[in-house]
Amino acid sequence: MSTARTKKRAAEAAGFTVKLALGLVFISPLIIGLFFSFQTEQELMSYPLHLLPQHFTLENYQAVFAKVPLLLYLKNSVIVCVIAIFAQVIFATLAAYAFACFEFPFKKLLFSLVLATTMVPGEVVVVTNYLTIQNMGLTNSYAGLVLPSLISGTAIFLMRQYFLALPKEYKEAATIDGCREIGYLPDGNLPGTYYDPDRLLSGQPRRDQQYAFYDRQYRIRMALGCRQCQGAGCHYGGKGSGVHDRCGLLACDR
Amino acid sequence: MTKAMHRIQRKNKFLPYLLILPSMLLFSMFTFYPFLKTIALSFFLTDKRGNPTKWAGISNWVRVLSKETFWKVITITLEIAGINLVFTFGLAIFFALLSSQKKKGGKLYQTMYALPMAIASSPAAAIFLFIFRQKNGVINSLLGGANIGWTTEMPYAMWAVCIMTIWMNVGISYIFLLVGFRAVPQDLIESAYLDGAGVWARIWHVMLPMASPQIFFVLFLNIAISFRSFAQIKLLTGGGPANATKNLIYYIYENAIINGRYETACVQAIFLFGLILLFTSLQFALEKRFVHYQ
Repeated sequence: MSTARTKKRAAEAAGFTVKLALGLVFISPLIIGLFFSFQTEQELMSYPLHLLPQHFTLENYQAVFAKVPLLLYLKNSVIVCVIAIFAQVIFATLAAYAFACFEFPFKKLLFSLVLATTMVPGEVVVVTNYLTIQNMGLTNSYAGLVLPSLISGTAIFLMRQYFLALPKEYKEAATIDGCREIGYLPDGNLPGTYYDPDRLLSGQPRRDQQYAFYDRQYRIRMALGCRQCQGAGCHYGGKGSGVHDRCGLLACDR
Repeated sequence: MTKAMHRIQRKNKFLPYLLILPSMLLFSMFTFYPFLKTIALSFFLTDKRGNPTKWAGISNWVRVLSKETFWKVITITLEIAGINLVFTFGLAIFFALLSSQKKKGGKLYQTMYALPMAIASSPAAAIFLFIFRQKNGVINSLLGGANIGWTTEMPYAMWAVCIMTIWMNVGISYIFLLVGFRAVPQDLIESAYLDGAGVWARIWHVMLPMASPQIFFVLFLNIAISFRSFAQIKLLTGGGPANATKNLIYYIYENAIINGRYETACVQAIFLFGLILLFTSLQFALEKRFVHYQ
């Protein structure tokens, strides 16, 4: 028993070492870059090449901060990034909801157009976009910088993939229950989505309260066709006396 | 869908369009309009700033498509895209399967596998220039003072470009695939194990089919990315030696910005779009056969 455990632990340790070593090899260019950043220019050009700095120096870092307003650039990046992310999440969620949960004329065509945007190389449109921004008088402003990236086709595609993975019946249950179409988005689709990026990407719904509610409604509707329920008197949460084999609900005493 | 559903949906005829409207407005302004303008410009002669000067009919198209360099560039584009697609996807799947089980300390190597995606292409290229440089470069030093021009000789230049592209792109695919594999229900894997399925059978018959929506997405993403490699080519090899690593995007850039032949670039840009469209629609045609939604 104890030898088996030791063996298992040794195997785990070996696995960890191999995975870590692979990771180190994979990021070695970054490590090399980091080491080089502490070397003087002469040392970088001298022969033979040293990986570890022989004369440790911070002058490269000083030079960068003296010559380039790095903090200003960082601030710009953060502002643009935050605005773009919020806009993309909102717009892409709305559009993806329409593509995943509705049937409407020209849906296929419109979705193809969305997909097509992900295939247009940025280099193709950048000149025209610059002229557009210029005509709007928005050059040298955050608005001009952020406008073209307020929406992305990839984001819509990703959200749609997720919404598609949710069972359609839940939406039907919500609709029958009087939930308005737009209301299903925050009540039914999003609870499975917005807490946990892991879940969002995997398309695995998360069962929290509202979601469980629609799950229950769906089962009750199913129960109407259940022989044991006889289409009546089956309410979740009633005094249970066993489980129906067709609808999975607790059977009621009545 | 039931009759009741249809009745309820008819009341909300305009809602889906309303939901799509904001996205479509933005797309129209910053993607469709410039793209249509590009198509229009491909039928004109233009000045250096890209303004149309004279109607040219299809003569631009004839000139571009009859050039031998163009077809060589297309071949190289396909070659680079193919190599990148296979290796990026392969490496990402390998890393994702390696770390699909949550283990103690796993965050450490998971971060390492995903890290390069956080680096912009130009600083990455700066590091890779040191690694690949002929005199005193890291790889040549490791090879005991070899004298290989990694960015100036064939076939090494092609490898250099591809290695850097793959290195930059593995991270994002890895994250999507990892999440896909992690979401495969544990009891499914266990029951396959109890039924006597070995490691490969479990990967091939359980993990890969269950994660097929993610795999589909990663392939879709990578097709577009691999056709659009630009920064690494510009910074590492400049399209050389003798145009051997010049892909379509770099060719377009060269024509539009350096040579000032805007209409030529327009024709090539549309061709590139058509190429990506072709491969993506092929993939969507395969989606129905190989992707399982729950």
